[in-house]
Amino acid sequence: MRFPSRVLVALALAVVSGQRTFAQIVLPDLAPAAVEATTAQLPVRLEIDPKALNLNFNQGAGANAPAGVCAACPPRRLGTAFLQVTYVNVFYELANLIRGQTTARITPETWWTNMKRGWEWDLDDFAVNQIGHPYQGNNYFTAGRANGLNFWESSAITAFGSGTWEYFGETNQASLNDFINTTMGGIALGEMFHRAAWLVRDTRATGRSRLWGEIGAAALDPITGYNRFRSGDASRVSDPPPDLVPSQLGALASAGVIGRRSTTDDTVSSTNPFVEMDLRYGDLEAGRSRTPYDAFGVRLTLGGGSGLSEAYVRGRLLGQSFRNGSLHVAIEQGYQYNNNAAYQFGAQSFHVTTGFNRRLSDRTSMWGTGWGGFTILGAIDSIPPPGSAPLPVPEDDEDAGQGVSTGPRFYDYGPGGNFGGFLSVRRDNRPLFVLAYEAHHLHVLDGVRANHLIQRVRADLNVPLRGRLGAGVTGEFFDRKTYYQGPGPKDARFHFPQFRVALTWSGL
Amino acid sequence: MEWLVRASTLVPFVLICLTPALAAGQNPPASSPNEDARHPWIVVGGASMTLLGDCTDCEADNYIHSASVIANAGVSITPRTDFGVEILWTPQTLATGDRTRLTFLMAAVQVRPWVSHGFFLKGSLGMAFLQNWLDTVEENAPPIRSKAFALGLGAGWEWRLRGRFGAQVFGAQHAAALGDLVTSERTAENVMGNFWSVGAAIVIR
Repeated sequence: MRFPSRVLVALALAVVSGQRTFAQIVLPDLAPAAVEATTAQLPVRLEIDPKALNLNFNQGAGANAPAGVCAACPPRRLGTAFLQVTYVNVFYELANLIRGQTTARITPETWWTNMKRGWEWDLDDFAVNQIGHPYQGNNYFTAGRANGLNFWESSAITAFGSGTWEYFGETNQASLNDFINTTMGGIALGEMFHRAAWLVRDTRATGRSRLWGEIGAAALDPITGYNRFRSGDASRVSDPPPDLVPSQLGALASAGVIGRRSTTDDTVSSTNPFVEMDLRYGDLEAGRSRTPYDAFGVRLTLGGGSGLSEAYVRGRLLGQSFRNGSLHVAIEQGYQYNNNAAYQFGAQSFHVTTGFNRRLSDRTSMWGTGWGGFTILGAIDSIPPPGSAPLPVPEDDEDAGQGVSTGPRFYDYGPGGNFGGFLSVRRDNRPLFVLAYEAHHLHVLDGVRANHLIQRVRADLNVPLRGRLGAGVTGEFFDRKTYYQGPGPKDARFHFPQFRVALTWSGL
Repeated sequence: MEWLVRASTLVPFVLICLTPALAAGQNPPASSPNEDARHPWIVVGGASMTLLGDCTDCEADNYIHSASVIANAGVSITPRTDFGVEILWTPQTLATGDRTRLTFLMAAVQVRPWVSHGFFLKGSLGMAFLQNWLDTVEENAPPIRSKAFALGLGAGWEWRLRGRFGAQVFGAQHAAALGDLVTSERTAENVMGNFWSVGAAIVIR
């Protein structure tokens, strides 16, 4: 499955249009909440008292809101959710069939064979497995959310859709890595897209602007969009679900060039244009949170060596503040995808973060955080031990049929751990200097037998020029040490430094 | 050892078979007046298990039959959702003749989509540990020590029997991705074990 470019465009639109839409749609709707607009710091900054909204994670979107507030919330339809997940599978199956994929020629016999054979590691391309499958999983997840299910129920629905696809949607043997990437990546992307769509949708508007808002939202979250057009909710004037309203919102967009080098045998040195967008939804740094993804961060990098070179989503599942809000502890889910000319890396993870706030002056503040957790499944491009034979070049297997991956696969899969830290210095609530460090350990279960220790340091300096416009320079160092398990060299180390300059636009 | 495992499989089945009249008169699990309160979630049972071990050069469709003991311990986090730890233990004799024991240790989530019905779905994720330490002592076989990435999926039906006690029947599939496995005969590469089980368990809430 290929990642549809329209989704990227739509997400970019959501990020860029988020400020306007948020201000227009949401601001007037928060009478029950304690609204504090610190306009000196942000274009829009709201502080919402969770108790005023009476939120908890037992309920679907807005289902626990005060009576009459949430006319836009979909009714709870569990059977329809299961049915629409199955429709999603039928849609992808038919799409593959129309494309002539051999793997789409399913029969009850292939279903029975798959059930008898169980799970395996598949041989598909990195992008297909690490972002194509998570996108498909996002459709399952939003099918749950579109039918009034809460985050956790929609997560179960995602696993159901992923499992049934693996067994019954293709002739291929069910793939363990696909199941995990589809389910966990689908949850992360799904809740992010669902909430982003509610930023674009203006449920108080009428006429043409309303229509385009609903269409734009449907591009981000097609299942919710379909249900709203079918039920007539797409034209009904109402308030938005209160628990899908972020307490604050911000964005940072940058465009420039990135230069990258590599110390692997296949030395890569390249300079490419890129566009990067960071979206911050809600307040990741404070508050008592029992609503998953009421705060999350998204980064999306287009260009820079490939069409989509980086995507990450980091969503808060639970959070609690201490010491008058200066200390914050949270459990977060992470989705990560890096694919450029120098290296490939992807991961599904959970981690615990501890962060602190310090005000350095009236206009300057600092936010720091440290985190550590489990990488449920990570993927990194394979590098054989130095001196060994290069990885074989795949030959076209004409008998395999279209869509059948015969390998070899050029990246490794395995679980592991992760930890890191983050420090941000802000002036007038805009990031002036950001230093981020992250490390991942991967124990390879399928691929070149090794343990990988992957470290990345990134420093961003963003100097305001005029208004929201700024100039940014970024240095990044990706370091990878591989401890091989077989005979021959015991370890090897590779570096991938990169440098970028860009113009920035700050909505933070 | 085998008799113990098989007995643990049999006992919950017998208990469930003997209690249909009792179960028929009970409300569905979620109809308890305390359904919103958090309560413990404990499951102990057994299952009949079929194993398919696959690897790069392994013989195809070599199914092995065994039995297993399963246990869950945790709490209900919502009226529909339980969260906790799952332990699954099973002995088996591999095609190479190696007698091993496999223990799954995983985080588990059980969801009951319809709160008024006993149908549930369960997912679990964690690690599995394969070893033959006892045989190493007794028979000088080479030690097998391997850790695996483990996943479990299952579905079943749960009844409330009396008070906090209930019963369930379930079907499940577990997978253990071992990477390479050194056995007495050779090193098997890219080993993936698939385990299908059908069983029953006692539930305490």
